[in-house]
Amino acid sequence: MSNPALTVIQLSDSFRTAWYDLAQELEVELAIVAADDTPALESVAVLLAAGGEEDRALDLMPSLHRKDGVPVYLVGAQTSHRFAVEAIRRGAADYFALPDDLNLLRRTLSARTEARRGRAASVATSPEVEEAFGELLGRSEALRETLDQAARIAKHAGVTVLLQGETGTGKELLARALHVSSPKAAGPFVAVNCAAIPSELMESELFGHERGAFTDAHAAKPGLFEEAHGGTLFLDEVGHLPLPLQGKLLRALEERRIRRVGATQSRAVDVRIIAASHVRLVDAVQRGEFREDLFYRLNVITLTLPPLRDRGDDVEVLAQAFAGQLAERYGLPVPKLTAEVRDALRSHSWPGNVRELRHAIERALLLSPPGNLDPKHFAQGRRTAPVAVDGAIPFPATLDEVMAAAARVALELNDGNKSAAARQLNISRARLARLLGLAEDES
Amino acid sequence: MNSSIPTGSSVPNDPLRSARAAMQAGQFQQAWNALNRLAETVRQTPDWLLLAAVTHFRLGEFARCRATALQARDGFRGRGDVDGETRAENTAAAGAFALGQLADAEQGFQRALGLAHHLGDEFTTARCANNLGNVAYYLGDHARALGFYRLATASFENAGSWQGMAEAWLNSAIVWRDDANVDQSRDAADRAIAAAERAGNGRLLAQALAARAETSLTLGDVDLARAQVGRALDLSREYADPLAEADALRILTGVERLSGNLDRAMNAGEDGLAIARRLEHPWAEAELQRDLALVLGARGRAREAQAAYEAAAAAFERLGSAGRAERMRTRASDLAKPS
Repeated sequence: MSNPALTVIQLSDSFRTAWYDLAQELEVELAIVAADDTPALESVAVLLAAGGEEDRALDLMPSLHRKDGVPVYLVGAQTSHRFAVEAIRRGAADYFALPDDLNLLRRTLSARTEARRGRAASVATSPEVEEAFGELLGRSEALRETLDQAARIAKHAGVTVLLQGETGTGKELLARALHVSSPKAAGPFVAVNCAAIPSELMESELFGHERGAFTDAHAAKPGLFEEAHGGTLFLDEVGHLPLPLQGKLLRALEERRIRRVGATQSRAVDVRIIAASHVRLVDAVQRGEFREDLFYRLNVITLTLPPLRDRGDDVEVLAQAFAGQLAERYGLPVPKLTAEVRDALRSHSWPGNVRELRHAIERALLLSPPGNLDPKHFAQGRRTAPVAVDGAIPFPATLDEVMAAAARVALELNDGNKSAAARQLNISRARLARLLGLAEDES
Repeated sequence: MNSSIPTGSSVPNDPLRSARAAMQAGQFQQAWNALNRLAETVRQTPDWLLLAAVTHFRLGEFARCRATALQARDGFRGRGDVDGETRAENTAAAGAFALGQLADAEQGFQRALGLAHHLGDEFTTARCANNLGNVAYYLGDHARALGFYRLATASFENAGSWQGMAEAWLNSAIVWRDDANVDQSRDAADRAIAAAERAGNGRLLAQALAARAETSLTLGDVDLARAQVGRALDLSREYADPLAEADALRILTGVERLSGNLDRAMNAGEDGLAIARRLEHPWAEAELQRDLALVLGARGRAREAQAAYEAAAAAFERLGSAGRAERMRTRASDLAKPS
């Protein structure tokens, strides 16, 4: 094999000497070419050196994409994250702003050269990064594309990322991997499921409150923004944020300051936001349920996790991995995936995605003979009525008892609101009253 | 619920070393003996008082724990040691919590939380938040409880404590379960299991698997729940954790009841109740009485079921959980009505 080359597509004369120095340090040939020349075949990497021609470089980027996997890095003088994001969007493997990022570029090229020479299997990453991305198991092209893009943007900690994907596709895992791979990795990672917080408590949960801010605020409490200071705040199901709070979040993102509920002073926070939604936020914007300005602030880069049904053989890779992990948890022998199991895995569409698959494997592992997975146990068969609060629905019991108990539980769940309880049970208020043993006028 | 109390391991005084070592080994009576052998001058220090308070807590002497921890707190405050003051405040509040003095516990945990957050002490912040979640849960304020558990989980993660995370997720799973929010409960239990495995804590793993089994039961998947609670029961016995065993037996009671095996359900429930009584753990006792009442009701033994509900109500009331007590009384009076 010939000595590999560093190919530089030079749009201006800036930093020309830096390329010679880099090539010498890396012990590779240097091939400086014009934009319309063909880059060297044995390239370690291609640098598109903008040097004041940044707009032209962006226009050129899509045409430089290499099918052989050789990365094309854009190098320029622009220091804004937005420019970096745009470069990556157009296909750059990464963007380096010189002179600030020269050392970073040197390390990246050095790692590439090592990999190219076969001294290392891949671009150098930390064990934590490999572990974080490694948890997103699978080798399908659909998943790999998303993970490759994620790996490229991870180091730009100032960039806000929006993760889209159906429920159970692994959005939190990807958010965590982005955090671990970012310059904020030493800071905290705080995950919040906005759908799980009552709207009236959301502001206090996110931003904290001072003592006496509201009736129950007997003492000050820090919010999750403060807990995430210096790290990443992952806002899952961000579409559930109430509109007034969306404005407060936007201000926090723009000013990098937050104010606790009831506070007179704001405080600085250094937090990277990663937001996620299982529905298309743009639709919520059109319905007027999500602020357009916040949407564009969050949507600097969108990463979409594919549903399991679009991930080909990944379902088997995941199933085998889950079978191994869960067998260890339950002290059982690790089962092999038989042809019957593989057929069953492929024939199901997995609407609940990876989470559903994991639960199915757990169920089959526990209910099949040790060391086996019987696909008939993937899904739950006979279902009894769900047992509500405190196991309050008596079962087995007479139908009258079950109905009376259901009425009582529905009333409790609806804070004594009989109309709401009746609606939940899909019966009239009068019938609810009879079930509760109340006279009509009491209801 | 899983309470977070200090272990006493961060008290640095040399004369206290052997007591501290005994504490860490779980030999609480030996720790108390070692503490008592120390000179009178040492026994007046806030460090000694705090370690003594933690020992009292571990020995189940909650009133002495609280009184001694408050002395320690004042001592630390007098010498301007905010870190010590925070730990002592948290311990005193834990004592109040165990005594069912929920208002005092809440005030103490809140003060300790404020101090710990001000110091940037993530671990103590997390402990206090977890304990405040427990108070809110006992008082029946589930939304606030979950808020504190969220803060606890984030702070425990910042502090790198897998064990703490497992506790906070487990507590969240229990609250979601009570709210009949099965998906959230299952997700929280799964996270608790993963964190307990990372922490290498078999006792917590048993509790988390039991919580997971209960979500399967709530979903009506009796077969899966039986397999999961079986593993939880094995682990609780392997790690000699009677409280986890009592909880697993309670869930097994529900599994057998929903399977129609009422004799087995009675046996499991009575075994669990015996353990809870031996441990003098009123919360576990109340939950077991409540679930046994369902079995008794299903067997047509209405009078005994009524008595079990009344016993559960009394226990919940002692713990300050008025809403739960009221619900138990309602069920008892329902049984008294002619059908």
